[in-house]
Amino acid sequence: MRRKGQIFLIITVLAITFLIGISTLLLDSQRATYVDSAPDTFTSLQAWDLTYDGLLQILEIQLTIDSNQLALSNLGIDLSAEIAKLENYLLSRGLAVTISTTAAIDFTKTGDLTRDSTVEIAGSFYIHLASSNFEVDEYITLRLTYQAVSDLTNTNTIVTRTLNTNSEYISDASLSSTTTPAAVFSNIQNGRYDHTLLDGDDILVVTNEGTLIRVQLN
Amino acid sequence: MGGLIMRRKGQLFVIEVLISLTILIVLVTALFSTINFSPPPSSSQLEEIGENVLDRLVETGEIFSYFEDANYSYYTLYEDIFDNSNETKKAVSDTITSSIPLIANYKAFTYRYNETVIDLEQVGWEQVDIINFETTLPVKNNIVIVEYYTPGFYGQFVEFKFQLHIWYEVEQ
Repeated sequence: MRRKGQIFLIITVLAITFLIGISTLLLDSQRATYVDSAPDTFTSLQAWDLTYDGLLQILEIQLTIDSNQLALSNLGIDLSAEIAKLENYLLSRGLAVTISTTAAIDFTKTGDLTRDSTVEIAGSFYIHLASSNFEVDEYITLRLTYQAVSDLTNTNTIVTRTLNTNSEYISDASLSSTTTPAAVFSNIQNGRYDHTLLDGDDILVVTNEGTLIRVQLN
Repeated sequence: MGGLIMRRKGQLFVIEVLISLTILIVLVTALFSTINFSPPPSSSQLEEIGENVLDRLVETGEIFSYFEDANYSYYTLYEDIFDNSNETKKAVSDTITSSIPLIANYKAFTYRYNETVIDLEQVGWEQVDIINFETTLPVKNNIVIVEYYTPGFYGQFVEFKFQLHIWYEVEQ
């Protein structure tokens, strides 16, 4: 009889241990869904944003530099130094991001001093971003185009900025011409600039970032 | 005979214990699945607000004209802190003030990457300016820090970073 009592005691102790164990487990899993759902997702998304914005900004700067070199029309560009700086910065914030170019970065200028003129920069990148529970492996292509089109019949110029396929009108560009007396440009605010220039007059369009596009009214 | 009955009783007890254990476990599972022991953390949302402020500053371009002016003030005029009444600085501070909650306060630090500066504390990053210099960072409250980095602007590769510290002046 005493032995039986001992067995019951052992069973009771085991049962209590089991109960405590399972309740702790349940409590933990319950808490986890609320507290630790994805602790660094926000940081990772931030890292992605910083990478993307950084790359776009690098291209924008390079486009501005190249568009201001009048003799330049087509060029392959090495931006690895600038990209390395971006990676360094991200690393300094604890974000391990690898960026590599998958194709040459090209600057293209078409139709300089004609009715329809564009300057364009395009690059393809591979981005690898990883943290404990978030990983991004992405190929992106960025094609940034500034275009100015002059219209002789309505005597105006329309300026647009296109990122990949997404176009928008540029309303904060400054336009100038070398004619005397100086031409007056009125900004119509939807990317359109009205003026009173004559056939064959040159127009210089400088965007807010400093990118130069040259068109000719004809 | 007596021994056999006792043994059977023992088995019954074991079965009873098992059944009660099962019931208990089922009960505990049911309880735990419906009651939230820890409510979802009430996010202060300051981080999100901060990110939005930075986005806005970049989209309007205010931050770039401010960087340009702060750069001029620091490197050409040799001023540690750039004039508060300057329009571009005022534009940035106005945007921040109007975007963060009324009970929140902020302080922002602007850095420029300078390859010639080798400071052990912040390698290469030189503090160019402080916005809302008069405020002191709180000791007790949680400070949320968001940062904007740009590899350059206006056709120049000049690395700048803008560090925005936001906190609630009132304990949440």
